[in-house]
Amino acid sequence: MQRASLAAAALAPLAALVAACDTAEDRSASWGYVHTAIIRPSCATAACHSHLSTAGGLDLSSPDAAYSLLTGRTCGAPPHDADPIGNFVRPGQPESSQLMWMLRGEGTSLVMPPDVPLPDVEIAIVERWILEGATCD
Amino acid sequence: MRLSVALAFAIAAAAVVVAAPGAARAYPQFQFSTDNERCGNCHLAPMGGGLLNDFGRGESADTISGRGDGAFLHGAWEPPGWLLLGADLRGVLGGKQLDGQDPELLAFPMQADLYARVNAGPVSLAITAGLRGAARERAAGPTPTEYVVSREHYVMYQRQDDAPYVRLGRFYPVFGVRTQDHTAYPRRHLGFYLLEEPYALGGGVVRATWEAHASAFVGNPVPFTGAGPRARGATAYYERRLAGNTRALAGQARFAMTDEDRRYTAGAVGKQWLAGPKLMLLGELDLQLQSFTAAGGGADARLQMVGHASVTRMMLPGWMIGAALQRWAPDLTLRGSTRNAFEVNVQAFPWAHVELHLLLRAEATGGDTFAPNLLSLLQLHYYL
Repeated sequence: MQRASLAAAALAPLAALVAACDTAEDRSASWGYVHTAIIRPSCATAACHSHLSTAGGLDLSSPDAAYSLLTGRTCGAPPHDADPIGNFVRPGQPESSQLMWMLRGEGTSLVMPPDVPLPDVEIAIVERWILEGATCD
Repeated sequence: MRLSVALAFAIAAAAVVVAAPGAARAYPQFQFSTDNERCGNCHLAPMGGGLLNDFGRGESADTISGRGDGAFLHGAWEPPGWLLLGADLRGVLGGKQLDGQDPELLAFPMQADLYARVNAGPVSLAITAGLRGAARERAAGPTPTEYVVSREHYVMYQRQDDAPYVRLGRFYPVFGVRTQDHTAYPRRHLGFYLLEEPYALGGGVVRATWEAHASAFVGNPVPFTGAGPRARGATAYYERRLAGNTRALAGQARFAMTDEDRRYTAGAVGKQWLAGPKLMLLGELDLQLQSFTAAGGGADARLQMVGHASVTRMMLPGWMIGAALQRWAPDLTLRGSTRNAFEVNVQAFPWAHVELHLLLRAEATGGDTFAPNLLSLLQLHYYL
């Protein structure tokens, strides 16, 4: 029994690899996930949008600051008409959000991340976050 | 004559004044293949990399390059016994082409690190300070801290070379294959990327046939001197050397937590030296479970995988030619999220202190291997 459990544990990653069948729809589109799983590791690096470099004036290291910079809204405060609209994310409108253009490399020479672009499935999660209102949850 | 050569190199090195933190670490291919079974034979740091000891400097000339004098300043001046000095300088020329984009030329200073170590009996103070990289345009109005950073500084206690050690300060805990390339996937994706060194308390012991290291760490509290998630946690690494010091197997574990996530990592490292064909095989496989604590409970944990396998033909003195396959799966069950890379490395060591390194890499995201992103870098590396 114990041996069977060990074998199952050892084979679990292989099974997961074979069964990589989830899509972007199966993942959370919350800001907590988008920032921690996609933005922070891909964008907030030493040479780019970290406190160290603030490329383009952007420090995306912390979720609250990154949210404010991208959306122009304050995390935790209810959105209202007077909120400034960020240059990068227009809540509910991924097609007019500059962030999406840069992630997709469409209509701009400024592809982000500049070393290796994100895979489509991660871009789709970001797009869904914007489409669902770009809330700070 | 030796002094003038040394001065010429020093002046050339100093000219690279806007350089970068391509954290210089060990070349793991040298373990076993140069008849040195452990990193500490040549390096002063327990994990390898950085400053070389006298034996390591000798090896860099006699075994690695076959020409020149590997001593500090090419032997023109010898520091007092309590002081060790060194430097790593790298400049890069190259190009890249992202899928669907125009090719782009690259030329930037990659690294300018100075090393100093002061010994006082069993206690030593090690400092690595350097000029930060400039692969991309800096933000307007840079302050001095945007140019200069110390990515390593620690106090270490070790009574003799093979005795247990303890160190406290800023450094990367011992973990993984520990290649010098910070873009290698195990470093890039497991918390060992550029300037992500934490502050840590670590200790370990290195014996003839095994070594063990453990560290507890906290995130760098000074934001403008580092990057990354600033996690706190712990690591453990155990390596067993086998087959007459031609093979090593290692197990490792790491726990890291931030306000946003928890990461539990377990992995294995394998090293095999094939003396006949002069091939060095290196491999690392890590699995990481990441749970999200800042996603309102709406995000499930994800299982990640990092794999790195390389084969290097050692043609020492003078050359090292290798190929590597890498795979990063940030979410094993999410289709189309993987990154795969294939690369070729040609490294020439024409004389002591000097290396030319050509890196050619094709990297595919989302499993789209037919439209890879291409990168070529020619590095000129000078070790003082």
